[in-house]
Order: sequence, then C-alpha cells, then structure tokens
Amino acid sequence: MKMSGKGRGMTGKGMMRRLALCGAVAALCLTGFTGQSKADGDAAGQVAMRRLTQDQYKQIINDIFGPTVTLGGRFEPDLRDSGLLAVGAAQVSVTAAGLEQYDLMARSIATQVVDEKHRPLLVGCKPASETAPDDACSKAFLSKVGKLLYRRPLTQHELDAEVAAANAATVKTGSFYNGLGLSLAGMLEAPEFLFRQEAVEPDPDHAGAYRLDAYSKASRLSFFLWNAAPDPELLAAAQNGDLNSSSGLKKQVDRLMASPRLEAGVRAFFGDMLAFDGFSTLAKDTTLYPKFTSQVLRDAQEQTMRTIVDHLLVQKADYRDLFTTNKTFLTPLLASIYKVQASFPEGVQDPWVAFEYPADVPQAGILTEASFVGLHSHPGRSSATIRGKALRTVLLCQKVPDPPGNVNFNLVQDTNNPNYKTARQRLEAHRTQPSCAGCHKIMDPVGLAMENFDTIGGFRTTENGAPIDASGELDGAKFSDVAGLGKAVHDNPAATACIVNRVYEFGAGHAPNKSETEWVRGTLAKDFASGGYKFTDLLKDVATSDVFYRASAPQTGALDTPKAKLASDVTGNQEVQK
Amino acid sequence: MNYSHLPKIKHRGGTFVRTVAICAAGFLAAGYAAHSAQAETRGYAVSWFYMAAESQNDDCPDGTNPLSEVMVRKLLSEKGKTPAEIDFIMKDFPNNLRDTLYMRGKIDGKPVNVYINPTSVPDTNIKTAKGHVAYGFNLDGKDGPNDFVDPQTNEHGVDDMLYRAVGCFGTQRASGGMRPTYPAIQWDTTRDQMPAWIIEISGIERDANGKVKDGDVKVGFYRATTPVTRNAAGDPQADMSFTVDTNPRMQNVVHATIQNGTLVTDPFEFYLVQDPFAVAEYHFKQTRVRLMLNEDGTAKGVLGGYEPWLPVYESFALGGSTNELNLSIDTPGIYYALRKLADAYPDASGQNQYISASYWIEAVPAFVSHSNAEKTAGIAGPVRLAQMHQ
Repeated sequence: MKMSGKGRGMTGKGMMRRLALCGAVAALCLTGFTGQSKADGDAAGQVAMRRLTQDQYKQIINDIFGPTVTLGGRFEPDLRDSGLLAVGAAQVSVTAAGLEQYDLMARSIATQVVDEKHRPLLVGCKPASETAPDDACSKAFLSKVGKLLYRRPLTQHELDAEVAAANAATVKTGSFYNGLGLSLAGMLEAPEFLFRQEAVEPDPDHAGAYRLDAYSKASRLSFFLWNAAPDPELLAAAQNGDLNSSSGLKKQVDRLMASPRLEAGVRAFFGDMLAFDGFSTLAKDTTLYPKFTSQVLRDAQEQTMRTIVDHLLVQKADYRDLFTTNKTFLTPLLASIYKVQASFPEGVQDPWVAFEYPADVPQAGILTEASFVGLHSHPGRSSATIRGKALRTVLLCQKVPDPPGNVNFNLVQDTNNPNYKTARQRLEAHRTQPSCAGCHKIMDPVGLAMENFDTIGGFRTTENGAPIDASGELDGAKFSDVAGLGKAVHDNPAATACIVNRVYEFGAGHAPNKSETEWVRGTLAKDFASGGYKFTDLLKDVATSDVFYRASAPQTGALDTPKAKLASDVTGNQEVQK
Repeated sequence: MNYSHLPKIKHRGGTFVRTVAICAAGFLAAGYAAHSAQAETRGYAVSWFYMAAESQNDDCPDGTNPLSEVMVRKLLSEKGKTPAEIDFIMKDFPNNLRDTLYMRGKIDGKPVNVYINPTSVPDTNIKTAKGHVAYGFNLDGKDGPNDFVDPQTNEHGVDDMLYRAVGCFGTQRASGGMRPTYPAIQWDTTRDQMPAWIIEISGIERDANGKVKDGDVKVGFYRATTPVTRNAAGDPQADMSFTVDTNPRMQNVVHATIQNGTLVTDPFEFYLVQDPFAVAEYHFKQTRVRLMLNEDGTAKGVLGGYEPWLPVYESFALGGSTNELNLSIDTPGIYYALRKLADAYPDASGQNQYISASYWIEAVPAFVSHSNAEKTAGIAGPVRLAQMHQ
C-alpha cells in the first residue's frame, strides 16, 4: 500500500492532523508547554505535555505492533532542562522538518501494519470486502490500537472521525487496508500520540484539590517505571478505577516493578541523568587514541548501564556504592582500554563478562569508567575542569556557572608547554587569572583526581613524562586519588539528595515545586536513607505516593480546551472501547 | 592509592603486581627459585609477521624480475602469437589472461595447471638476490659465500636463502624498516580471521631504575583462540586479552636470554598454524628469535630458521594468475628458485627440503592467559610442549 500525498489529500485528514499538531504546539508555546495554572509555589504538581522521546516512541511501536514492524526516519533532537531530557521534553515542540519525519515514520509503520504479512495478526478482523469500507472492522481495529497509542480510550467523536477517514480513503483508493492504514498513519502523527498529555480532575479525597486522571496517572507511572506506554492491564486498572485507590495503585506498582521491563525504565533514567545523549556527538582524536572506535563508544555506555542494573536491580545494593564498587562488566575492547586482563567466552560476538577489578588497579566505581571520564573530556585530551563540572552538576546536582566569555584558554590547551607538563600545572597557572579562579576552585580539585585517566578512559601515571598527582578535595573531604574521590562522592549527602531529586523530576517531568520539594527532600530522602539507599525502594516510594500524581488546578477556561474536552469525554465514561 | 610509583610499567598500568604472583608460581615450580618474586610477565600479540628484507640497490645486479606485462608478452610470444596479436590481447591487460597463464603447463603435450604442476614448464631462471645484507641468524655456524651480514647485529654467516630466492621481485623488496608489499598484504589479509599469534615472556626482572635486567627468561610463542581486533588506525588493538589455544601443537616454549633489552632465544623448533592465504602452517627448525622489548610495550624483532620450501611456494601459487598479473610474480620460476636454493634437511635424493629464512615480528602489548595454566607453568628451555606431552 502506498500512502501518497494524493491519499492524504483525498481525505484531508493528513492536513487536519498537521493543523491539529501545529495548533497544539503553538498553544503550548504561549503557555510554556506545561499547562500549569499557577506559579511554582502551587501546592500541587504541574501537569505537562511531554513529547515522546525516541526510545519511548520506538518502544510503543514495538509493544503494539511487534518487532517486525520497523522504523525509519529521524527524530527531533531532545532538550535538556534542569539536568534531564525528561524535563526538557515538556519544553519542546515539533518543527516543520520534524513533522515531516513523523509523517514519514507514521506512513511507513501503517503501511507495514496493514500489509499482507502483518494484517492477519495486527488488524485482527477481516472486512466483508477488501475493496469497500467496513465500519465494524475499522472500528474494532482503530479503537483497539487507538487506546494503546493515545494511552486512553478514544472518545466517540474521535473514533467516528477515524472510521470516517478510513472509509473515505477506502473509497478513494479502492482498498480497505489502504484506507485503514491512512487512518492509522494519521493517529501516529497526532499530538495525542506524540505528546504525553496529562489531564487533571478534582480530587474527591481533598476538596478543592486536583489530581491526574486515572489514564494520565497510568501513563505517568508506566513511563516512569518502564519508559513505555501503559500496557492493557494498567489501562484496565485506570478504567475500572483501581488506580485511584492506594491498594490498586500499589498492586500495579508492584506488578510493574516485578517485571523485567523495569530495567528499561532504569536504563532510561540513568541514560538521561548521566547525559548519555552526549555520546551521539562524542568524538576522539583517533590519531592520538587509536583504541577508540565506535564499538568502544557503545561498549562504554553499556558497561555503565550493566553495572547500574546489576548493582541496583539485581544486587539491590546501596546506590552510593556505585561510586566505589569494583564490580563491573567488560568487553574485550573495554578491557584493552582499561589495560586489565579478562577472560571472554569463545565464539561469541561482542561478549560481555562480569568482572571484578583487582585490588591493585585504580578502576572502581562508575567515575572511573569510560562513560564518565571519556564522555567528559576533549577529543584529544582529558579535561579536569569538564570532569569536575560534570561530577558536580550531574552527580551532585550542584550548579556551576558557565565561564565568562573572555577567558583565555591558551595556557590550558597547550599540552606541549614544557613548563606545564600536567593538567594540574596548567590549571594552576590558569587559575592565577582572578576571573577564572572562583569556578575552577570548585571543579578542578575534583576533576584532577580523575587525571589518571586519559580522554578515552585509559589509565596513565604520567603526562608528558611528569607524574600525575591525583589528590584533591570534595566539599571538605580530602583524598589522594580517584578511589578516594569515589569514596568522597559516596559519603557526600549531595549525591543521595541528587538522585532522589532526579528520580522525582524524571517521573514528574518537572523540577519539584515548593510543596513537592518539601516532600522530596523530607519524607522521600529520609526513607531512601533509612532503607539503605536502595534504588528500587526509591522508585516505589515515588510511584506509590500521592504527591507524584497531584496536580494543580486547571487554568480558568482550560477545561474548555480541546485537550480538556477529550479528557472530560473519557472520564465522563463516554469511551467506546473497553 | 598512589600510582606514581609505577612508571616502570606505565604502558601496562597495574599489571606489575598481578604478574608477580603468576610468574613466581611458574618459576618456582620449574626450579627457577633464583628468580625473585619481582619477576614480571609480559604478553604480546603479533601484529605483523613477514619475510624480512633489507634490499640493497646493488643486490639485483641484473635488475629485478620483469613486471607481469613483460612476462605475459613473452609468454604469448612463446605461444606463437604475432606482435599484433599480442598488442591486441594486451589492450585488455590484465584482464582475460587467466587461461593464458594458469594453463600454460604441459604434461604429455596437454595443457595443465601450472601452479599445481610447476615443473610442467621449463625453469625460467628468475633473477635472484646476490647481495650480502639480510636480517637473521647464522643458523649453521658457517660463513659461506651465500651468507649474509645482519645490518642490526653485524652477525656474519646469516642464512636467509629465501630472500635470495625471491628478493629480486619488486613486491618482495623493502628496506629502511618498510614492509615488503606482498608479504605484508598476506599477513594483513589473514589476521582478521586467523587466531592471533601471541608471545609471553616470563621471568623478566628490572633494576632499581626500571630497566629490564640482563638474564634468563622463558618465552612462549602461542596461537590464541581469537583473532586480533583492529583499532581505529587499522592496526591490532593493544592490551587485548587472549587465551592460549590448548592444542599443544600451538605452543612453543623456549629459554631465552635478555641482554641490553633485547631477547634472544636458544635454538628451538617453531610450529604455528597461520592461514592458507599466506602460509597455512609455519614450521621452522633450528629457530632463533631476537626481540627488542620496547618501553612503550611493543616488541619488534627477527625470527630465523629453516622452513620447508614447498609450503612457501604454495603460498605464492595459491594466488595463481592473480598474483602473477598483479604482483608480477613468476610462480613456477619461484618454485625452481626455492628448490635450487634450499639449503638444509635433504631427502633421500639429496634434494634439500628446507630453506633458511628470516621474518620480522612486530607485536603490541597484550594479556595472555592459559586456560590450563599448569600445562605451561614451569616448562623451561628449548622444549616444546608438544614434546613434553608425548
């Protein structure tokens, strides 16, 4: 089936979709995309309209249509805000070029879904005639798929419109499946699919307060724990009201957390927090560092992910030990980068093995992995400053000001200056400039502790023939090497406060406002500590809390918006598909 | 932890301490108790192995062997083609000449594959190298008129008749540290799929300044279970981990002496499987290896020994007409030259079966592990494991 412009033009549906999407985006631009009604000091959390990330989009398509339906096209770049892409997702729109890509992907997916290979399984029903409209089959398919795509049942109005579009396209193209595919393509580029739209409703337990409606709650929960849209069981729990009870919510949280799919959620969170999106543009000078290949780049990210997943989900160990653990996972290439000996299974492509660093090697904790020291370095040399800044901003959630615009970096960048052989010497000279000294004081003592690692993570004891001094200090804790730095991060209260805050932000899609902050810094942080800093406990505490699903009051007139109308339709039991 | 005390082994950060225990165990078991607990083991992956050449301007006094175009014209002429016919055929050179070349042999008047039957054509008496400069070793203890002087060690009586045989083909010539074209192509083509060759040197001691001390060491030449991995520059990745193939025929262990940072083995028998595209199996008798252990962790040196000349011929013949046309190799000519210049181990007829040869070895640092450590621990001297387990 070909979905040409002619097809879209015939029904006018593609144009309508575009207008709807662009209209929604334009409206969001004016309101800051969040839909919140009050200032940050509101007692309840903001509701947001977050664009699906690449991984979420791919996962949803995979979940609904299976792995044999492939994706093409490019995604719009994500935006990092408040340290997370998950927060930035509420700040982004869709550009014209991005819409073209969504359109391409939508039509490609829809074409595959209704092709002869997939239609028996994915469409599920057969039309009375393959050349004529069939309301029953169209309705059955579009309502089933629409519920999964929009993360809520379609309103009657929506379903009628989709069926009508499919019928019109069927008449024009002479093919039921072409018509059905065109309607599906339209849904795949609809703002209801591309954006996670949250709807609010009055909270019956707290007069005058609001909460996310059950479907929005299901979405927030599912994307938080699985980085995916709600599955049918979770949607059912939303539909029958279970999610609005503490026991029903806990039951679903337990189910989601017991699933292997929790790993995807944890990977998504840490990939976001650790800014692994930076790997997509990471480059190294392979003339100087020929060990660095694209495979090393992939392995470096995966090493840290495997370390995290094993440590936090499998071992259920103390989060802080991620900075000191000598347990990790290696590939042959990573072992060569770190210059450690490891045994790998034979005949296995890209083998991974669990590895425990010997006591006499410096590697310990994720700070010493290539995903950190390599990601936060220059292409041809390490950077104590960038690493120090990354440690403070990424892992401790501290703010480090940007450098002033008129800084002279010549001294720092000249690694061949015989008077300043090591980064420490160069930075000491650089810090004599008063405008630089202030910020470098908080970055360099941390970053210089990682100088035993070159720009790709390879271990070294000297730079330009001069011994490297890796001693330093972090918020009063002094150490002599990177292992000491790991211990200092482990013991630093900011590290645990940071992860608690980031987890909440990741799930909620916004930085906590005043009342949320009180709960996050208070109850949530204390429970995390008293439970031994178990990451899964932290996830569960957030996922089962009331705070996580509270919403601020809608803006005056907001309920009259199409978005609110749809929500009203749904919550008003006008849904058509159960 | 302060690692600034480790610059001695800066290229292998952290390996020093770990290797102490491994080495100590092995050597104590072998009666090497004299080696202190400071003994160090270093591993290498062979990045290059190719025929050594230090070609001189005057070692082919009659010029090098002709390029393939000249050789083909001569062949066509011998087949009775007229100059005009030859010009017409050569317009498409080097295409459409495969049959002309490979079926040029004659047995009982019938055309045969010349690469399988190299004596089916007369000896073309290819030009052979006449010089006296070549890397290697004096394998037979004599200094004769056909012998060379090693430009690196000034050793006289160096035996390297392989270079004499093929040294006047342009693709076999090199000097000044360059690799001869064809041998380099052979190794480069095969190393992605052939299990890596690895070297393990144990018993290395260092002085207070970190310099490698003179003394006895044990050297293992092994085949690994996995190939090398290329880095971004296309060279083998350094510091990879390899496991020794448990097949004892893939293990050669020999005593060696280090002097001034250069290791020289005792004579030993060397056997390692390579790849049929080059030489399927390398087998050297009376082998000696000289390796310079560089402070950056790499090693480079020369292997000399007597190898069967027929597999060497086969390595050229395997390429057939492609080799002859593109590399200007006269394959049957090489057969005759190797047979004539072979200089050791005669058969009953008196025909020498082995030819002296020298090869460069280049290696990058690697980690070597033994899946069955006791098999090699403690074995010292010019004894192959294969012999130990017989």
